[in-house]
Amino acid sequence: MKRSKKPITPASATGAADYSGDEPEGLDGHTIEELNDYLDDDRTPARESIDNSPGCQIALAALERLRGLTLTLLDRDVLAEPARDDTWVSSILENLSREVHAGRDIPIRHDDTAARLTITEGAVRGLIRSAGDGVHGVVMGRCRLEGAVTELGEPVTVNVDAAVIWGHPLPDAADRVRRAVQAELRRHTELNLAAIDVTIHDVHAPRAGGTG
Amino acid sequence: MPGTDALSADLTTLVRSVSGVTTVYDAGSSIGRALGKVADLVSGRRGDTAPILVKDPSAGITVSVSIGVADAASAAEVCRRVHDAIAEHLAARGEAASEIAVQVSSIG
Repeated sequence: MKRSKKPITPASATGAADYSGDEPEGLDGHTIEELNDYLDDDRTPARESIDNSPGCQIALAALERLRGLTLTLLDRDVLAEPARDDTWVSSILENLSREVHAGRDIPIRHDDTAARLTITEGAVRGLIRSAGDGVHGVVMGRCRLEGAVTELGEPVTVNVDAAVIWGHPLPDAADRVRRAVQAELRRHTELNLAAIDVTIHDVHAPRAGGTG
Repeated sequence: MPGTDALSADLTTLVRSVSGVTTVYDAGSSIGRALGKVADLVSGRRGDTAPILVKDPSAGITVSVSIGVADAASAAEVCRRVHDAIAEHLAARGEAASEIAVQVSSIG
């Protein structure tokens, strides 16, 4: 069964920043639009070049979360404020396509001197985005890791931007994002977290007559 | 080295069976994966080559693995389990690796 198409609008269609130049590396030659189509088709027929691309898999997971959000938020807002919503959704897609590339190798400890165990920076950014998106009322924006992440034990600062849905207290939302990101990073990585800085860069508010 | 293809296939099966591993990605370059898109478009299939790289230079076997990990598991722990499974498999064959590289490329 096909999913109903939601308005996941590429930046190129809205006049927002052009991110196409970032896609070949992170998405292994694919585009956000192709991944959208792949989801529309319920990933059928299977495309090995997408299924075998870590960047595509991270992007697909984020797109699915974004589609879930559009079902609950944009159905209401897009009707009232289409230009605004196109822009911020495009901004999310732009960040997504930039962040899925593998990036730096983040080490994992092992006693065996022959072991070279790592998590890609792209996987960690995807983890951070997933943790933030899981916080009710929050839409993740940009994710950055600052510091010498390739060196075990070096202090690392996580910087994330997020938007909050109207009606959620901003300090509480920021704190919940911080705790969710911290929990996931501690569970999956061995990063020495010096700080997790959360910047709320926007509040998505329905116009008068909305339900939120 | 004769047998590296067979070893790669064995290790791929082994790694896929490790708890917490959801995917074994092609450990080749992103350029290779991008070329896979072309192969998809032309034939609909990329072929059945094992995704784990095994090389046997004179200094010893090197193994390179790229995996996806379930969100329910600790990525770091799964990564170590994959390494240990490979090391034990090689030891059972009477071989030792000069390097076992395991990369977690996606989580969840």
